[in-house]
Amino acid sequence: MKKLLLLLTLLVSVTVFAQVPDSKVPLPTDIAAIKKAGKLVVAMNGPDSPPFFSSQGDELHGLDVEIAKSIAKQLGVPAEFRRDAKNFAEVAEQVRDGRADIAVSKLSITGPRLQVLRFSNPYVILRQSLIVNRLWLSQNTKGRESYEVIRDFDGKISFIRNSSYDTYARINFPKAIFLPEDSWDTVINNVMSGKIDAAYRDEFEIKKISFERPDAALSTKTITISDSVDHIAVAVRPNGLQLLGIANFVIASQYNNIDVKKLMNRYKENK
Amino acid sequence: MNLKKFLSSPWTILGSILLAVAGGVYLPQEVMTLEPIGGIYISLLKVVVLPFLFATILVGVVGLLQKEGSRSMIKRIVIGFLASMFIAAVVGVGSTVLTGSEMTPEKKIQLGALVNNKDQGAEMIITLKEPMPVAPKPSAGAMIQKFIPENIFQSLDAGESLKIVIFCLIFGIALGNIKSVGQEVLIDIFKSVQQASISIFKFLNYFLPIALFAMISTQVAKVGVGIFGTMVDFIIQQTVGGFLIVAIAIVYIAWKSRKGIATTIKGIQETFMIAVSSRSSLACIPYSQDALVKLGYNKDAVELTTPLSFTVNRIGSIVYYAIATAFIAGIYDLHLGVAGLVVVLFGSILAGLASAGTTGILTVATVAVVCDLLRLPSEAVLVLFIAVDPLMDMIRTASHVIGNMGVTAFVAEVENGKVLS
Repeated sequence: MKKLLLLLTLLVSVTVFAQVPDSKVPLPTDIAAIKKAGKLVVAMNGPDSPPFFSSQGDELHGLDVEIAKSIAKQLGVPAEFRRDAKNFAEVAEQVRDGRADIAVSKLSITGPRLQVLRFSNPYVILRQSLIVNRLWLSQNTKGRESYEVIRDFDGKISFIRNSSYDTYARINFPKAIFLPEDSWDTVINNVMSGKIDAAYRDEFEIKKISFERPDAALSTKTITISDSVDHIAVAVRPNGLQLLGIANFVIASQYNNIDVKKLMNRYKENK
Repeated sequence: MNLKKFLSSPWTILGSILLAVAGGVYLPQEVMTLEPIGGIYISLLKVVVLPFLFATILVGVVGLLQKEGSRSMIKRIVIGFLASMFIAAVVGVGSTVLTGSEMTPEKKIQLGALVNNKDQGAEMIITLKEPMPVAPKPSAGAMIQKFIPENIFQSLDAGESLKIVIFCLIFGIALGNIKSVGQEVLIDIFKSVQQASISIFKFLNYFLPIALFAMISTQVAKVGVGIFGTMVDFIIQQTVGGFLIVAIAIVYIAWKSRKGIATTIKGIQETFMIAVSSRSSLACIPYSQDALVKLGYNKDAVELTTPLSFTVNRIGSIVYYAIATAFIAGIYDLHLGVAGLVVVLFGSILAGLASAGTTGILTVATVAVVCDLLRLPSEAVLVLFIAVDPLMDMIRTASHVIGNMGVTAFVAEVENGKVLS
């Protein structure tokens, strides 16, 4: 009888204490705001970028969609994707200005972005890559090795406007002529036709060209820079530390160590 | 008709070639099982070629030294080589100008997809800051070194024909200049080696129709019909170039020997077949010598000139390089004006010289010598060239062998008849 009473008291106390975080201690402000809104607003770039995110009719698919949904699940709210950003820079701005809670949008960590946003641990680590117009390369070798021509690149280089590669290009190829474009397709067409000499992006996007534009192999050459990185991570506002912790937990437990090979496999499966 | 006659009839050989092409196109997997037969045949041809070559050059050099007029023959060899290389380059450039086709965007897309297909994962990896491994550059010394034999037994073992020929020339000159009884004995021994080798070649000839079928059908099957369609312009240009060289050589050989075109074609058809099927110019040396001697050309001169010209004077490759470079220029929309064509002309001769002693893919890759002069990228297109090379090698070897028979005809005098000069 005494034992039964003790057990009863214990049970009651456990239920009482278990409710503590919900009722007595207030939630951190970033989480509280999400709970209050009843949804996690995820900023995601407008143009599709498979296998990170792409839409088929009304449905969204991809790695970033999965990650965002896992984070929302941890919070017990649904994820709402806003896709009105026209480029990666606008995605970053939406989070910075509070129009979205989080950016899961194949966003690279860069110096300028680190000044206004907080990034999670990377879930994808890529190297930086170039496709170079072959004719330009052989006409500008001037007795040098190909790698020397790239290190000293002084031709016309193109990339997506205000993307991470806009930043990287100005750091790594200071002698180049910079020609940013809004559309990646335009960049590829221009390097194939010789209008520009090189296109700059991550190794995955560069590898993807050989599947989408098999004829590019004749006019262009793929060059991967082994001592470079492109960290793809989730971004939140500077005061979103609690949300960041959840994002890091989701990444560490489910989306760890995704490299170019795994991305390529995901991409081919979807094709 | 008895079996021997049937096997050596030109109609049997022509039939086996046609069957081989059909077999390669329609039953590619089945004919690939025949590949070892072709391999065995080429090995059997080559196993006697080296002793034959050795004996023939020595006998030729000593014979020449004992006669008058060796100096004028050397002069003719040099003139013959230079003239033939120039003609080959002109023919190469000429056939691109004659058969030059427009490179349309559709064609480029097809070719590009093919490169992509054949060249998966061929990305280049570099560093921006960290040191790069430095590849040693081939020096001019290394270029010359490939002509100089260091250890003749090693060269025989490795089949380095160029070094063997040069050793034989040096050794033959030394042998021809010593006055001893031993010299004649040695020459007699080498003459026996030569005759024994020839009887083996003659025996092997009976298996030619079977070997031809195996070798040609497997080459056709390897290339495949798909790429054949995409590369058809290139294949046609190379065929025209090869045909012109063969035609010029035949006309010259016939004119100088006064034997008539028909007799000349009949005389060299066997050599032509061996060239096309074996793709080994070395294996053609005994057949070409036999053919030229039968057409009335001086035996000693023929026996000395053919090994030298077949190994050094890369007529087939020069034609190939000229056409290949013009093809690459077309792909990259680089208009070759008169100046560009002149660069192609002399660049091809240079590449031909640089390609001495190389075979297969290495020979094809030497096209970079001409492309570098024009600052054209050859790397991507090389993948396409290698894919169709089983066929191109046939054309290259045939024009090389018959072309050099023409050079030999220029050097050697015609006996049993009036010599024209």
